[in-house]
Amino acid sequence: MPQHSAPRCPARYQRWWAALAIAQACATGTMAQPEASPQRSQTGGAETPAVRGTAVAPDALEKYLIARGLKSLLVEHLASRFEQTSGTEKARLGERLARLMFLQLSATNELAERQRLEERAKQFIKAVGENKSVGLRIELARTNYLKAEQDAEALALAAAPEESRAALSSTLAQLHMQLVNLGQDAARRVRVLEEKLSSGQSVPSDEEEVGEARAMRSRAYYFAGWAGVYGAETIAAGSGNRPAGVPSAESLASGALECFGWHTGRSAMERASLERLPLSLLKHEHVARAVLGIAGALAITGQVAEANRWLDTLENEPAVPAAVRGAVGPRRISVLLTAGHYSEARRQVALLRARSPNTPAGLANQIPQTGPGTNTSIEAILPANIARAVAAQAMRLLAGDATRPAAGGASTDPNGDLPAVAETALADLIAARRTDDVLALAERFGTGTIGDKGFVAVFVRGMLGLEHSLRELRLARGGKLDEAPATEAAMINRLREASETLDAATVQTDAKSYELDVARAVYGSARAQYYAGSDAAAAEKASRAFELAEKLNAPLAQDSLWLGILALERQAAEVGSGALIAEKLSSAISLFVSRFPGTLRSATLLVKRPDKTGLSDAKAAEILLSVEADSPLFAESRRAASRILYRMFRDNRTGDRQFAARRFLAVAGELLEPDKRAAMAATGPEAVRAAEATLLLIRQMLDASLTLEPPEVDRSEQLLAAAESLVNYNAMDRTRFGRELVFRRFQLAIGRADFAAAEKLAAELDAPGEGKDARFVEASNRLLFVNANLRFKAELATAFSSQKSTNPNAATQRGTVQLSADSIANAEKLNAEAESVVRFGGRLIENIGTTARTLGDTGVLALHHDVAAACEVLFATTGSIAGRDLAMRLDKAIVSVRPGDNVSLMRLATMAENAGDDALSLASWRELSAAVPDTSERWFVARYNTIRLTAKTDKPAAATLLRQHVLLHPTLGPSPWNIRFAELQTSLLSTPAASTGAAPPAPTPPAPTPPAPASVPGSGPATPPPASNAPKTGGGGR
Amino acid sequence: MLPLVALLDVIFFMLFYFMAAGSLSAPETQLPATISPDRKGAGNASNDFTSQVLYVELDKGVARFRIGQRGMATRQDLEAILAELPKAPGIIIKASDDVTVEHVAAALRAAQGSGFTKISYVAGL
Repeated sequence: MPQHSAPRCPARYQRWWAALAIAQACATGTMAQPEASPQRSQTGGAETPAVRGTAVAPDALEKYLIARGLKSLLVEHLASRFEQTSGTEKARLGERLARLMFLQLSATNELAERQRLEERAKQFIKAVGENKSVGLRIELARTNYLKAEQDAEALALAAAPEESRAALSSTLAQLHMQLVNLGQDAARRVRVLEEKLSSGQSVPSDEEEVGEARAMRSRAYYFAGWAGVYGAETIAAGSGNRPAGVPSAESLASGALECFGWHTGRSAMERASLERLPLSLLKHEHVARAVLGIAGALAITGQVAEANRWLDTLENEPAVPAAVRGAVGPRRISVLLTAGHYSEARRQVALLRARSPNTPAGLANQIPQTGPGTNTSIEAILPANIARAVAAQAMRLLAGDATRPAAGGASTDPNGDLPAVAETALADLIAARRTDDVLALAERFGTGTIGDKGFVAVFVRGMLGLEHSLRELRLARGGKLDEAPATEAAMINRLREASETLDAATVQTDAKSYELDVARAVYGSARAQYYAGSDAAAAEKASRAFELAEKLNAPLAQDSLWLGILALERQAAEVGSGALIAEKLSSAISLFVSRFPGTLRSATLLVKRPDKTGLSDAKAAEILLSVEADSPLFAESRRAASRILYRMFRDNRTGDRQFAARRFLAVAGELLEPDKRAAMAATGPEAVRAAEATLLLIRQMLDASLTLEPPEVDRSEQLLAAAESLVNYNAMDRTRFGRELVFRRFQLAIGRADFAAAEKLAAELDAPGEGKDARFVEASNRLLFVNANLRFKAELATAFSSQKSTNPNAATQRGTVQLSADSIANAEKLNAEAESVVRFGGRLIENIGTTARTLGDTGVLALHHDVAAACEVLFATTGSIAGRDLAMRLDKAIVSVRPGDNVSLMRLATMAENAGDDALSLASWRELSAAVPDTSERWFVARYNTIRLTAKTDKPAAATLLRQHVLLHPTLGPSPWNIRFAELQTSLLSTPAASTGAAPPAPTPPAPTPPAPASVPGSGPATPPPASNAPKTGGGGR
Repeated sequence: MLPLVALLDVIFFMLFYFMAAGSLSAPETQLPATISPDRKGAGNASNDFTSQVLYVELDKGVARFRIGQRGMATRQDLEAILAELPKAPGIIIKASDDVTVEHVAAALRAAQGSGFTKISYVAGL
């Protein structure tokens, strides 16, 4: 109510000031200065910060806590220091802690917590000296008063339950007495100090102290007065009923008048008297507000005329602050209603409306400001907060909550002024579109005064009908309103009736002015239909409510869409619901999660229906992982997130796979322990289900952890142990996953570089028997091959580097480097690795096949290359005929699909000549010379070998070819091929050897291709070198 | 009536002229391919010769001939080399865009003069 709001505003400012002050004090580590002038503290509006105190040097921890705003911890820290100190330091800490308690008190509404804080504050106050303690106790009482004032306001506005009235009146009465006592303490202190000053025995600080004491006295009586007024009004509004021990309303009002006497020119608890009021004091806001309180108290005691005189004085005195003057009208209406002067109250309402600048919402722009032609048809209305207070008071009186007129007041209402006041205030609320206020008042006092036409009236009736029905339903279900529809016919009818009323509200002529409330009405109608079991209607209405709310960007949109989903879910669950409903549900879910992604409901949908949301896996995982740990959905959402993350890991074939695996492992790791415990604790069918679920999670984690680079071997080992333990404990059938676990152990052995164990496990995987899975066999072979190939290439690189050291020209003479068991240090190891590559690669090739189609895959092609390269090494170092033949077979296959493959052609030519197949060798060299540019070294190698091999069967032709070469390439080519060509020249063109048919210089045996970085054909060395010491199985060589 | 007889005579004369002056066989088919995807073609003994490609290029404003690693500035030098090369594989003349017709013609004449019968011309390098 407006009259109540008078002291409230400054009180609120006080709290803000207090909060700001503590923040500032905390931030700077210093405390505010001592109390300012008494007058400022008396106003209560421009009071100096509440948290004051003398400076206490902060320690490092305190500074840290202050800097981070950790107030609770700061209190505990200071309390610990408080316990350990004594004397002045303890008093200072006590004061500071007491003020921190006040701050915490003002921030909580919970009764138990308030009591705890109050008790604690009292303990700290005890440590403070006598003089200071009065001020702190007043501060404590003021903090409590502000809370009680808020509650009294809420009760007066019918915004708080009526049940709280008794406790509140008791609290206010106690606070009144407490503040009166504190005021008396302060007054005594003032007297002592004043006597001391007048006797001439004072010290300089006494003057300052007396000022402080006066300020405390003034403040204590000010709040005591208002506590009395609110207490009296609370009791009076409750038909005068009060708990035992609580003074009557009149007694409290009288006490308040005495308290306010201090502010209106009287002293020593004398009642305020208008005749003794120095008008000049009214310029001070706290004095003017005290006059408002006096009027309220006089109304309670039945002195309406006197109250009006005080209010008239306020109204007529020009020096009164504007804020207080604005509160006079509403206070006068309250006084008149309290005293039962309804006719006068009605007149005052009309007067206030006439003066009000407010107009019906949405019509403000249509009202001409001044001048002729002013549209007087649009009436001004009461400000909404005043209308609410007037309506609440009038409706309460009408409802008989407070039928007792004040002593001496007129109790009759022959002209129906009271209903008129209520209707006017309610109409103004409706005009201001304060539907929530109307709804609250109608719920509290009934719908008798709201009429039955227009949107608000119908809407309020519909909403009340719905709320009452749902309340009953909730009560019938033990206090919890679940999603099940009502089953009683009477309840269903009431719900449908509420739905119809709300539907009727939306088609009222003035409904367009209430867009948001129309959406609320439609939503309410949908709810009613939902609980009435009419799912189709509920879904349809919820969808409409969503559209309306979405247009207004209102939070109701989320509720509406959610309700629509619930209704559709129920429809879809019915037998024969059809695809249309399923489609609608799917669309609604998809819309919800995309429109409200960060909500718990979205997470719920993702958990319940992960396949219906239409969200990307990444987004879905993000939503699920955003569920807070204290949410009941937490465990389920993590589980769903784990499933999605595993899918993301499996589907990912890019470089992000490692990241996806780590993300999955992080989330799954949180679930594993609880799942294991649940699996061990469960019994019966639930135990089997839990064990299966846990084992699945372990298997997924093993998959991810062993895919990482490097694999997480320790975690994997633990997981394998956990899997084994789970399987054994639950005696699970191993057929389905036994080979998979063997494969994981195989991966683990690879991860630990235990290749011997890995080979054994691979053999186990390949062993025939139940559960054999070709996928694991192939994967194990591939893994063995990949690892063997890596090792082989490393050894080969070492072999080449060791050769380089013995042959300084090797680096430049590419193609002439030759490997042999005699010339390399690591021959044995190299051969072993080459054999591994041939063995594992051979298995893979056997499984995959060597066809044009399979070789079209670059991976398969690389596999053939790698195996052929290993064969080449084996042949070069051990003379392995099998290796040579396999290399030829593989290279032939490669060349058949990639005719210009340099590496294969060179290897094939060399091997073929060694195998005695000069024709194939010649053809390969020819092909190579055609495949590479004539400026490359390989071209010269190919030309040299072509001419050399031709000479073996047709020396004149070879001579012709050589002549052409010499003509076109007078330098004969890069070294060492120029030397070789020169030797050919000698033997074919100008020496007797040419005619004797002696073979050209002997070719070198094949040399292996140095390791290619990525097994890409053609990336190997330029030319396989000839070697004189290689075994010859036929053919001359090159 | 149009006098078609004279027209027909002219057409026949032109047809005869093109048949007599042109060649129906493409010399390129007889030249060895430098790079052939056909393994049989590339590995055939008839292709043992290196492809003989004569480049006609402009070097600092002066036309030059190049074949293999050899470079020649004059037609005489070019003819001397071409004369020694085997004729069976034929020759391909490749001229860059910036050389004049005169030099290309010189290369063609040098090839013909050296006894090449299978000559192919490729414009633009």
